[in-house]
Amino acid sequence: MRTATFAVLGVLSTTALASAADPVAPPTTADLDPLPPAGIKDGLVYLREQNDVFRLYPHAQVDLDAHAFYGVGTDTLTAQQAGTDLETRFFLRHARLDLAGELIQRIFFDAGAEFVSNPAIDGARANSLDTKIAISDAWVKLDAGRSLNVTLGVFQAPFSQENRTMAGDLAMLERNVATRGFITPNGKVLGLALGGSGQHDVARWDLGVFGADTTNTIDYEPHFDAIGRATFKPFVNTSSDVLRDLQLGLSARVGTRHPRDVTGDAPAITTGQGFAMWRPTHVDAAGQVMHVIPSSTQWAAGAEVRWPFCRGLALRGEGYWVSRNTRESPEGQQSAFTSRLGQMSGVGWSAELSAWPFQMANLIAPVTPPRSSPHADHLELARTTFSPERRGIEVAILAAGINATYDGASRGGPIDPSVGSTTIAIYQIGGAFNYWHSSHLRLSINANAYLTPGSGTSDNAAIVPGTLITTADEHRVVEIGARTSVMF
Amino acid sequence: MTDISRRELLLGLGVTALGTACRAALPDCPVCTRVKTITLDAPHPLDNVALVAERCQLFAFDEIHTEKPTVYTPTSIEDIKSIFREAGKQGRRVTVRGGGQSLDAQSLNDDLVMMMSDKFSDIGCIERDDKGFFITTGAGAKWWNVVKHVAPYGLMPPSLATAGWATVAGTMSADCVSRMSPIVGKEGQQIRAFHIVHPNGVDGWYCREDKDEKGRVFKAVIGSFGALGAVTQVKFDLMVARTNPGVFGDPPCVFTRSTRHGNAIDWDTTLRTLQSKTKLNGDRFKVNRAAHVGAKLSKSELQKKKQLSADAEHTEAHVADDTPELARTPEWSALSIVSFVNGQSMSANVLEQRYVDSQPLRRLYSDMYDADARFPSGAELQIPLLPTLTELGIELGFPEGEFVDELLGWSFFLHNSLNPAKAAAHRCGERLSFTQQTFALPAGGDDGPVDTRPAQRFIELLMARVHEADIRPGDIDFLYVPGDEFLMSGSYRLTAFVITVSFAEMNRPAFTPEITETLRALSHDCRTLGGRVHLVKGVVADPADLRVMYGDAAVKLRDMKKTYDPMNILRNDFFERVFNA
Ligand SMILES: Cc1cc2nc3c(=O)[nH]c(=O)nc-3n(C[C@H](O)[C@H](O)[C@H](O)COP(=O)(O)OP(=O)(O)OC[C@H]3O[C@@H](n4cnc5c(N)ncnc54)[C@H](O)[C@@H]3O)c2cc1C
Repeated sequence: MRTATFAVLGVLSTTALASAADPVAPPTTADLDPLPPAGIKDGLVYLREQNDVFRLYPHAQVDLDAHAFYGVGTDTLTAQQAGTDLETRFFLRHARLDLAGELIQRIFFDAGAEFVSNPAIDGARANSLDTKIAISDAWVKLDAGRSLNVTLGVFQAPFSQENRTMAGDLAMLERNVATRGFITPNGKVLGLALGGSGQHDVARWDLGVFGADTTNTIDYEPHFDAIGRATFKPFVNTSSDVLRDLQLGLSARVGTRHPRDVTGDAPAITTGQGFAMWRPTHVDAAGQVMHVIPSSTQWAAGAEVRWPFCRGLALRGEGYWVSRNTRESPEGQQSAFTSRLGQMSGVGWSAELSAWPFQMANLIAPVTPPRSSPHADHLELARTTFSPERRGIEVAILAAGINATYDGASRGGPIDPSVGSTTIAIYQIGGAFNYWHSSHLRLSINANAYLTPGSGTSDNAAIVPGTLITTADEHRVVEIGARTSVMF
Repeated sequence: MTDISRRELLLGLGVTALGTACRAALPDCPVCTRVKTITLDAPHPLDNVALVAERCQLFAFDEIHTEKPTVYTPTSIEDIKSIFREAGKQGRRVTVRGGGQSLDAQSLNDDLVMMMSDKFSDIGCIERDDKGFFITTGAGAKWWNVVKHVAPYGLMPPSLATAGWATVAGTMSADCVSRMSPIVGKEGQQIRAFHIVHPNGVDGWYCREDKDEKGRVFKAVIGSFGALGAVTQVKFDLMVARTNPGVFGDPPCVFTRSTRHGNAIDWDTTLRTLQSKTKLNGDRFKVNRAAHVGAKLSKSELQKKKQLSADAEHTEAHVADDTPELARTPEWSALSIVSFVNGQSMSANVLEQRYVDSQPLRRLYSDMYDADARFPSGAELQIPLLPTLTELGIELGFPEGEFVDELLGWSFFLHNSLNPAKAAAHRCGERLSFTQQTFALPAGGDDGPVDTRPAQRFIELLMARVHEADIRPGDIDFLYVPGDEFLMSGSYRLTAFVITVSFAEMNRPAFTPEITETLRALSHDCRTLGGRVHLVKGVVADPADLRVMYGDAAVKLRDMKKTYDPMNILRNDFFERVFNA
């Protein structure tokens, strides 16, 4: 009976089976062509060997700037007197060529030259009249895994958020006065760093030892520095849209400068358009030009926060205590003679609110912006998602400041009676408007006011152009800058 | 640093990391099979079934999928029939469960579960006929026990999943794929016959040679995840693994030749090499196995054998002097590529492996194939905690070379590393979730030219997706597997590069959205590349993609169920989820 039932069911099901199509594998609808040997992806131009034994990312950037200065003295001071040309003018701010690349997908490198580096803005010199050809980057990074990599060469010191953000990715045209002039005046260092990160950057760390840096963008002076930075995204794995990308960070550096090796001036504090508001030279009571030179212990430490708290809107801020021992030597005798030992110390801080209004209004998708220059991060060529170009308007407002003291003889030697003030107080208030046509074309306008309350008196050693005119009682300079950036 | 201290360092770091994460211990931790908890509701038994019904919390091996069904443990065919009969009358749903080693919800259901592992686990005597050696075991016999039983006779199941506690019918019902599958086919190929009880009350034996309806049922039951009935016994082939097969003695060892491909792998060449070696060795295996069992070779087989010996002279010329004697003979038993994410790229080892006579061991440095080693389980624990450390460890511990390892350590290496790792996590009150998903990418026809493009594109997409999601897969395995004829098999008439991706996580109620979205996207990629997601491991995929991959097969299975399971009693969470069954 059971067999009979089985047979009947069998016949039934055979009939049923006849109705269903024979299973076949899905048709291939994807593109199977090999990835191209050259092309552009995520904003980067690449050339590659077919198995990615090597990849090259040629990168170039040309920035055409217009600078204008407003304030007492800006139309009377000569370029020689001001240390920078205060005339309204157009000029080539950056002409940069880089060759970055990857070897066996694990070794990344970037070597580049800046053909018009400005020692006052890109470095920390008082004079911005002569541009130079300088190394912009020269590093190699070995990637041993997400939590471990080694970087070697000349690169941006792992200190401070602003310093580590690529200049091209900042809302303002230049790093703020506190970062450039005080916190990490010479952003690039030569040395070796270990670094790594956790998933989704929940923690990221970089720690390095460095043997040289430069204030004029080309002459690297030997010294010893240990520099480290750690950032945390404590809420990155939560579902909170507001807190998810909140990033907190700490940076610290400590080092020494030996008089035998370091004879270059201490960093000047310059505006974004190159006017030096504090200069590491002065004429002493005896009429000699004295140079302030970093000497013995230098250290700095502080904290940072970055909070992209809603679609297209981000707040960032940081503050550091900086302590730099110095010595003063007469001109021409910087390596042979020290007149007095002093110290510069104080706080450098900044806060910036930036917004992408079209993204905020949901008119443009808020995507991770494509690269504007090579990163030490493998570029995946396979297209997984449609990645729109960087496009739209970005606006930002910024406040930054330096509240420091410089006492040239605090650690020894005769006090120079010609010194008026030991206080340095500089504030920057600025705004930026950027139009990104793609990650290859950016048009920007910046307006910045630099305030030096009490300058020209014993209250503040900082200066503005007006201070250089003996009769003026002026404590501010306004700079308006515009830039057309073309890069690939 | 010596190998030992390197290992100790890695293990130490893993244990420390786990220690820091320790909280109160979980109350029970038998690894994922059956966890009884006191808080469970009373069982919801079937009327008129005189069997003990228990309420149990059951887990999938991923420790994420779980249910609290009423569990029966039948001891006879009559018990099974009565459960089916009453379940049908009372509108209940039944899932058959073997070793519970499924990585997804294939053996879970929140209504009734029938445990086949405790009973039905006899292992019969080794037999031999003109087709070779074979054995008949109960459906619930665990593979660990089967291997322990047959290996001293110099025999091994041709294809063997690395799950020691999986059962013979459990892996058959999934048509499991293994490192040997490239050569001997997936598990279904070795099944000579099975006995099954259908929910319609019919039971019987189905054989490989059956034609027509019985033949179709044979091919549908294998790989259909218990959708057509409860298998009670399985008869399957054994293969010769050392000299003097069938004579009691030392179990064979396993010889491994590992060829390392550093970063920036030339995948086209590597996959082509895998394919050509697989084809050559597959042919050699067929011919030599026949010779082993004394079967007469056909004219064409003799011709092929001649050709193969000529090839062997050529390809084996570079074998090192100290290579064990048997490793020089032409055929490999297992061919695979094991690949790891290293930094932002991948490295890979091509593994050629074969059984050899018992001999002094030359273990793989990482002790990966040592059943008792602590290091591999330490590494498993670290994958979710410190992936880079594991990557570095693998980079150092999985080098190029020739090794000889013990059989059980090699056969069940994943079982050997994952189970102690899970137990260690449980002791700390943690849960180590592990999943794998397997993708079959078309590799060109069986006899046509090999096509590596879909697999290559898949690798590119895989790397791009894991990079984008910032997740690290554990390992990524590659096999070249010939197509088969089993209805629900991912390899149904699809000769494919079979790529398996693993992920591990700690203490998650579900895998993170990054992992699931990546797997879902990869499933879609697999579909557009003309492939299928294997149903044997975890499956995260859009139903629309699965419909394109399995729609026609599922319709056929559903039609068959109308006959053999007319009340649609046999269901499981997995099918309900992936096919909206
Ligand atoms: C450590 C580990 C290693 C693994 N390695 C591999 C591998 O190398 N290759 C591979 O392909 N898979 C592998 N797997 C997956 C595993 O082999 C399969 O999931 C296998 O199906 C589990 O068998 P089981 O006996 O535990 O079955 P279960 O998980 O209990 O059930 C699996 C399926 O089979 C059905 N079933 C079970 N018993 C019967 C029966 N008697 N009659 C009818 N249907 C039944 C169930 O309903 C279910 O659908 C591995 C898993 C683990 C945990």
